[in-house]
Amino acid sequence: MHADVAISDLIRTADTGDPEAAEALFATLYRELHAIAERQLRRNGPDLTLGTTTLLHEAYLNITEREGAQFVSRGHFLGYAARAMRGLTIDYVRRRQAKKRGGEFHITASGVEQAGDANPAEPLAQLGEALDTLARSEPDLAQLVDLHFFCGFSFAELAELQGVSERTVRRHWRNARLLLHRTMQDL
Amino acid sequence: MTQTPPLIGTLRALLDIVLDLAPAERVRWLADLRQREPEAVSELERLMDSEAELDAAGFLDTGAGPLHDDAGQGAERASPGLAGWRLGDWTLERPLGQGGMGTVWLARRSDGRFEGTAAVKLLNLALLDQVGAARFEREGTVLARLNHPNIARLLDAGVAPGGQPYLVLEYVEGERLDRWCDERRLGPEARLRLFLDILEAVAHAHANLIVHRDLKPSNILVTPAGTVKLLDFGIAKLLEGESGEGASTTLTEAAGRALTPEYAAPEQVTGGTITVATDVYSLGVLLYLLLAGRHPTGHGSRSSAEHLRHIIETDPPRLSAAAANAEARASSVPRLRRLYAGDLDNIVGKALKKRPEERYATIGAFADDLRRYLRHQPVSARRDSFGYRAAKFVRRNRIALALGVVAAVALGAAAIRERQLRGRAETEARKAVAVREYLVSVFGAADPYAAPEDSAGGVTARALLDRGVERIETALSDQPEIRTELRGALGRIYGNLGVYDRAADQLERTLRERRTLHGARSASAAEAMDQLGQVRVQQGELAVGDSLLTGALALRRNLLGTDQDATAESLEHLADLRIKRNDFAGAEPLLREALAIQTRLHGEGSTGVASTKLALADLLQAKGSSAEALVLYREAVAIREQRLGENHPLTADAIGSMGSAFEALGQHEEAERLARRMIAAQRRAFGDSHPTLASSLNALGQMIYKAGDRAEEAESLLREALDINRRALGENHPAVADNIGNLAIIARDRGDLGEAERLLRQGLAIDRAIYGREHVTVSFDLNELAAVFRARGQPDSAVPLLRDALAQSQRLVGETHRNTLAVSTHLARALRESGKLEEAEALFRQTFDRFERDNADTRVLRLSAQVGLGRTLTGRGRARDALPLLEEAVADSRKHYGVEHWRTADTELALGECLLAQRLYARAEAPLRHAVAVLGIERRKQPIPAREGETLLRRLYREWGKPPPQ
Repeated sequence: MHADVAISDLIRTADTGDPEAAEALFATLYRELHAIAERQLRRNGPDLTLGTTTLLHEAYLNITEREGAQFVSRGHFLGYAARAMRGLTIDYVRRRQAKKRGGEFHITASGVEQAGDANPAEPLAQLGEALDTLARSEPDLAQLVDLHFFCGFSFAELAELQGVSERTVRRHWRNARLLLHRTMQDL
Repeated sequence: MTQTPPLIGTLRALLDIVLDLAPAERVRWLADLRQREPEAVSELERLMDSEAELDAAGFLDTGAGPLHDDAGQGAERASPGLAGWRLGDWTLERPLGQGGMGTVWLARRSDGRFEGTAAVKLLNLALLDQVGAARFEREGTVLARLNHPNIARLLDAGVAPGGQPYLVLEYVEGERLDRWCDERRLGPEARLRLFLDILEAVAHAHANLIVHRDLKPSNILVTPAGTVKLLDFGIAKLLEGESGEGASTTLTEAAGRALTPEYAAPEQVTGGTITVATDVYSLGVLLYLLLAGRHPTGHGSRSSAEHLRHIIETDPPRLSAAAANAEARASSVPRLRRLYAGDLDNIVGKALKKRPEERYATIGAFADDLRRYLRHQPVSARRDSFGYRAAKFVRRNRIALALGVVAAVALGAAAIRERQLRGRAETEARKAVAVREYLVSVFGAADPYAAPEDSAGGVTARALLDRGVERIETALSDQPEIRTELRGALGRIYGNLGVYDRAADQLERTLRERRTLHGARSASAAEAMDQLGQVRVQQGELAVGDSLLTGALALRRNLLGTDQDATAESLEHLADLRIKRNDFAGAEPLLREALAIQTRLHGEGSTGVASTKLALADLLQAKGSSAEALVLYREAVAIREQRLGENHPLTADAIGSMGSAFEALGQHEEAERLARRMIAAQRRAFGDSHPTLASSLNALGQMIYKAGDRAEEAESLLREALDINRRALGENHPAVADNIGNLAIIARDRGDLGEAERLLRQGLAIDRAIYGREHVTVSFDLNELAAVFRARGQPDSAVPLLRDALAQSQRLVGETHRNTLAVSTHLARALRESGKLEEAEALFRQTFDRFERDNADTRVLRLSAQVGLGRTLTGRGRARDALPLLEEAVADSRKHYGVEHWRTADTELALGECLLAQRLYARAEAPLRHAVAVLGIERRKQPIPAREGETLLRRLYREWGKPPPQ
């Protein structure tokens, strides 16, 4: 199920800017998160409300427990995992769309499933593309969107996580939203 | 339409600025920018205009609001699917927020028995896996017992039938502690009182065996009524699980998952044991934040990995140095600094100790100190001194090395992440610090003063240092700041190892580098000057040392002010030099000033105070005030034993010094015991070729020789010292002259007067080369040389030497100094021996009349003057006046030296002579016979009294007309 390479090692290699390692890390984290989500769903039935932060937290705990990787801090880990979480969220929403609102499960905390949202997968996918574009020049802003929007971390939590003031996080958030919106229009 | 739109990076940078401006400013700023960048500004305006549109459309508005505070900021947008869900007696009403642990709902009591709301925390299911439903409920019951006005109560805990774990907590409407204080511009004292409420609450929890483990501002709210409420007590533990081990009530547990790195204690980062001390640390962080307005490890600018490293390794800046945001404290930064300096610094520092056992043992002790502070009473927390820090430095770095990969990887990861987030320059700066810390830690381990428990391989240390010097030239040639920092450390360590030429070389270069880098009038240059000055003094270049140390002191006073460690240090070093030059009058005020500074800065029990007390005691000792010195020695030894441990070389130093005070007071056994203890510790710490060891060997040799007359043992100690010193220091060094002088005394006493004279002339030449013609040491040499002439029966040759020595001593240390009196007594003896009785009598009397009989400090001096006076009176035909003096002298001598000591014998001769002069033959016989018997054994060492004794005894029987018994 898991690649033999430890996630902490992948993170370290990805930290050096190695694109292959980054890709492998993404895939591994995705598999990790997906596995946890599926396990929860199997165990607790389809009506489960599954929080994205829960998923991430459990993934982190699993990985640190497995690899003893205390030196990969939660914040550092989340920086990478947030992107995987985005991919997972979009895929789930898409799958759910394909099953025509079969009531399989909900992913909350991301606000992607607001009532009356007829086809959330399409704009979400677009958003994902725009984020990839934004990430090329402003990776920190793209990550902020992943963490706040897709993973559900509050500004206060992000402020603590990144070691900046909440005011700064909010300013970055406004910035990210404006630029992301602009990027989506350009797509 | 082919305008080139501004790049996204440009827009981002401009937005960062614009979004932070107030509306009026923004208009002005944009108008200004439009002049130069019209394209960018119109794009910016378009973007900003779209913000309202995005707000209206709810673009990216998620439901992820904060937990308790700022409720309403979007919390109501969280998934409303569970509204109306019943959990036990509670019905969920609306979501309050969401965080990493789960969602928080406002709930209302469903049974209608009570009016009331509560906050219900729905925990992440993932966490239940680890906690286990049964344990969750059991722990919940324990937590529910917490009943304190300042703790948000846990009302209920359970697992819903669907498997959802939940906690029902007292609902607190309030504001985060730090913001509440800032908004009301609460002064430090009001903040402390609020903090004391928090401590009381935590103490209550601890009394119930519950540790919070996640204390931080967002977990502490203040209600509109001003009541503090602690949230989430014990929940961190509840959530972390114990991997199936142990009872649920244990207070301690292996950690490893600090939920909030910024408030985590070191043991939470390293996976140590969680105890009450963990909360003490978090509370220390909180208090620091409340008072200083910033986080102790300055997390504002660090990645988490680096932050974790800082938690383990870096001592936070002192509270008073960190004081900021004074406005929110209704004060000014200078006023805050003054207020925090001292007790508050110490209290916060103690709470933030890296080692749990060094923190306050209980919350109660922490609170006590704060209350004492508020009542202006002395507090228990004391500041670390430099020596203490130096010792801990290595220990800390050993931890880092033991963590090995952990630290290195965290550092690497941090550096890389920083590069992504911030510019390259900053990363490089951080890397530089890392390089320095790493290297210094490696070299620090070779520093004998820093590593007391290491068995010293002097060779290893040298090799390491020499390699370090090589490496510094090649590896760091492009990093002058680091290089000079490192070079200074190398020089200092060479100095501590006693390799003074290399130390001086490195420190000279350090000084030049720092003058170029930071200017001649910089604190870093002053530091290098000070260190170089010390080494120069060690090398015996007193004049050079003097000008360096004086310069460093002036710079530090000027740049840093008076109440600074560095200034106190400079005062001490300069005083040390003046003592070496026997300028006691000049040294004493420097030391007293340094002691006052240290006491103000660090408190009575600090190791800094201990060092200064030692220096002052040394001075008093040298001045001849041994009793006063002993008091200070005892205090200093007690502090060091307590703070550094018994085997630390600094403790050894202090013990040795105390030994010398005992010696001066005539308590020889105690003195010797202490000296041997010191030497053993020094051999362990320094190896066998260190000048410090040589100096101890020299002192012990002197001591046992003076006290117990064990000449051979003393001589071998002195020879070892001389060998070490000649190799380490060269010929023209005071220590070498000292060793030679002491060997000369032994040679003289042994009766080898030729060897004694040769050695003494050698010593005199060295001392004159070092000190010039007039110096206490030179006068001492003259004194000793005179003694040899006297022993050869040439008192006339001795007299001029002694007159010279006496005049010098009077000018240098004063008429009444014991050295001066010793020389004058000696001169009196020589005068008596050459028949100048009148002058001799006057000189003896001067010394004899000055001292009380019972003063242990001066007993030896008085006794020898007394005997001399008695003899002179006998010689002048006033034997009646001499008799009581000599009888008393014999009694005192027996008591002081012992019955079989040659000095006692010599005194008995004086008494016998006196009795003989009065024709009291029967009374003269016993003392004379006893003296001759003792002196017969000591004949080689004490030829003069031995000869004199035999002459007197023959005279006795001749005048008495009685045949000598066989």
